[in-house]
Parts: sequence; structure tokens; C-alpha cells
Amino acid sequence: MKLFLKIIKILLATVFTAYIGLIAHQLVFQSKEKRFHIAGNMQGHGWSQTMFGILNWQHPDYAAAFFERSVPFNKRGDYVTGFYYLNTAVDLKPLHHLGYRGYMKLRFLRDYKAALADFDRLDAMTPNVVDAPWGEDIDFLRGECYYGLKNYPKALEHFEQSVANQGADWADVQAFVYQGLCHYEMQHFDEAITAFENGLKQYDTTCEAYFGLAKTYLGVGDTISARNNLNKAQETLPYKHTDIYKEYLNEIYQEDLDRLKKRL
Amino acid sequence: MKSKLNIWLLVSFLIAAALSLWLYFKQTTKVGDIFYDSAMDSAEFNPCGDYQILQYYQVGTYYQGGKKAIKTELLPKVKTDGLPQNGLLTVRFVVNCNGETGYFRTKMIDANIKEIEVPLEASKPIYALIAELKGWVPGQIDGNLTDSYAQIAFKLENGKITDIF
Repeated sequence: MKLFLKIIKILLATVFTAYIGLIAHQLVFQSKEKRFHIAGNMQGHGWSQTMFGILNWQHPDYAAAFFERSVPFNKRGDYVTGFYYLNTAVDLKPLHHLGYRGYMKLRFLRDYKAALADFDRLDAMTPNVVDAPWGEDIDFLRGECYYGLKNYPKALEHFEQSVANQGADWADVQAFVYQGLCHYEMQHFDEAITAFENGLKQYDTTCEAYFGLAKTYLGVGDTISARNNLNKAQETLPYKHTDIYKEYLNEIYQEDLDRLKKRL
Repeated sequence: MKSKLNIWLLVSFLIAAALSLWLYFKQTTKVGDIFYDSAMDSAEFNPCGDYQILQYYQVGTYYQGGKKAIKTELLPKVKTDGLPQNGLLTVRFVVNCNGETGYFRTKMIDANIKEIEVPLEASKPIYALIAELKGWVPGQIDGNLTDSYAQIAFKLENGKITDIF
């Protein structure tokens, strides 16, 4: 009986010790890349933040871990904490993280001047490269910043440069839409129509371009064309440009179409 | 020998138990969670379940007409009395499965993304305006309506609200 009890005790103590070892391995001793991957897959959980905390402490020059740690805070509105980690990542590896920080300042904070400063700094660091912060053309994003600042001539310049960077067939169709919107704001109605139509040559389901055309035709008093384009905007609205995190500056809704319909 | 085995068992058990409790706590807390606070939350608002509340972008919560519609609705009504002159004020809250809102919390940053304190009394009228919004479409999980977190940002420039998104 005594021997049996002793065996049970040894077994239990071994299981508890192995369990402690496993947790310690997961948290502290596993390769930093594996831990980064595990913590990244549990984005936003307390456990993930603990793993990133240990990674940041053990590897204070591992920029990616600071960047990834910032993400849930910024998505959930805690910008003080999020940007603290993101700024650390940028300080460590500006080339890798400046673009994303600019993108966050543009889309999440709508701080257009601060976003431009990051995009311009990134661009200056890579003189012969067309940068793509968070996968979007840098001139498209700079165009959005100037559009947000209501500096339409400068915004137009960048949206045109974005199309030149990517080629008319590969450019983001919204670059044409924004060109049209800039012309519209400057009351260059003929140029606005051309820009929206150029977008539709690329994708004939771009509801923002039809909506822009409807507004522009209304601006020049052509209510028949305005109505036709509004109908097309209505048909193509299910394909609208949208994002799960934030509203785009040129995003349109059924309510916008309904409001314009009342004016026709 | 016997006492060493007992100490090993006891110490390993205590550490494993403490680790398990800590792990459980870490697994069940998430960045941005809001907990009911009787001092500031209305007793009339309740989430539909006691499950973990997910984010709007995880379950597809949205407002009819988007943030543009919220801006149109709130901009003429929202007052800036008691609020800091400049910065970005973010109100985070829960949209329950019926599209009602509650558990409002505020965070505000300045141009250098440093925290600015916002008096609760200055935030309360904004909470009341948000609670009046009627166009929330609750998120869904497997076709079932669910509670979720959402947020609205107010940009303040020279004492005026210049954007809501």
C-alpha cells in the first residue's frame, strides 16, 4: 500500500512538473518566431499579450513583436497603448513599419497630416521604389490624405500618380473615382465625367463611379444622364467599396442614393 | 526521502494550480473588454447573454447608412461643453443583440497620441445621444444575433467637432 501511494505521488509530481515545464517552454524557451506565430493567432487575448510581453522583454530589438502587439489595441480604440508599441516597432525598423503606421493614422485616426509625414518619410527612404503601405499604393494613400484635408488639386495629383505607378489596368479603380471626386469638388465637371468613365472602363460595376457621374450630370443640369447613372449606381451598390474596420472617405450607402433621387 | 517527495508533490501542485488559474484568467480576458460598473452604467441596458462579447468587425455589426448617417444625426446635436479643445475622442460601447447600446467608455488622445483626461460629466451627454441612435444592426454568429463591441470617434478641432467616424 505504501509503495502504491509512493508511486502515485511520484506520478502526480511528474505530471505537475511536466505541465509547468510545458507552460514555461511555451512562454519563455520556444523560438521567438514560433511564439510570435502562436501569439499572433490569438490576437487580442490576454494570453497573446502576455506572450508578446515576454517576447518584448527577451528580444527588445524584435520589431515585428511590437508591431503585432499593437494591432488589437488600435483596432479597439486604445490608441495610446497601440501606438506606444507601434512607435517602438517603427523606431526599430522604420522601413518595415512606417507605412502601416501611416495607414493607421489615415484610416483609424483620420490625422491626415501625421499620415502624410509617415508616407513622405517612407518614400524618402526608398528613392527608387514605389512603396505599398499595407498593400496599397503610396500615392493612392497620399491622395486620400489630401482629399481628407480638402486639398483637391494636390489630392488629384497623387491619384493621377497612383494610376501612373500601377498602370491604368492595374491601378485601384477607386483612384479614378477619387480623381473624379476631386474634379467634381473643383467644379471641373467635364474632367470629372472622364475620370469616372475611366474607372468604369476598368470595372463596370463600380457603383461609386456611377454615383459620381449622377452627381456630376446633375451639377451640369443633365437630369436624364443623372437619373440613368443613379439607376446604375443602384444596380451595382452590392459591389460597393467597403471595409470591415473603418468607413472609407468616399464610401456610399443606400441613403446617399435615396437623397440624390429626391433631388432629381 | 519521503519528506522530499511530499515537498516536490506539494510545490509542483501549487505552482501548477497557480499557473492554471493565471492561464484561465488570461484566456478569458481580452483587449478592450468592458465590465459593468454600477457607478456609471445604466441598469436598464443589458447584454443578451453572459458569453464573451466579440468585436464589431468579427461579427459584422454595423449602423444603417454607416458612420456617415451617425455623423449626420449627431453633428447638429452634440455639444462640446467640458470637453478638451483638440484631439480624437473615441467612445467604445456594447451593441446588444436587440441593437440597443450601453456600457459606454471614453478614451481621448491629443495630436501626439498621448492620453487626455475627459471628465465623465462631459462624456455623459454624448453617451445619451449615442444611446438614442436607432439604426444599429447587431452582429451575427451562425445566423444568431449577438452582442458586440462598437466604437465611434469624434474629432475635435479648436473646440468644435469636425468629424465623426
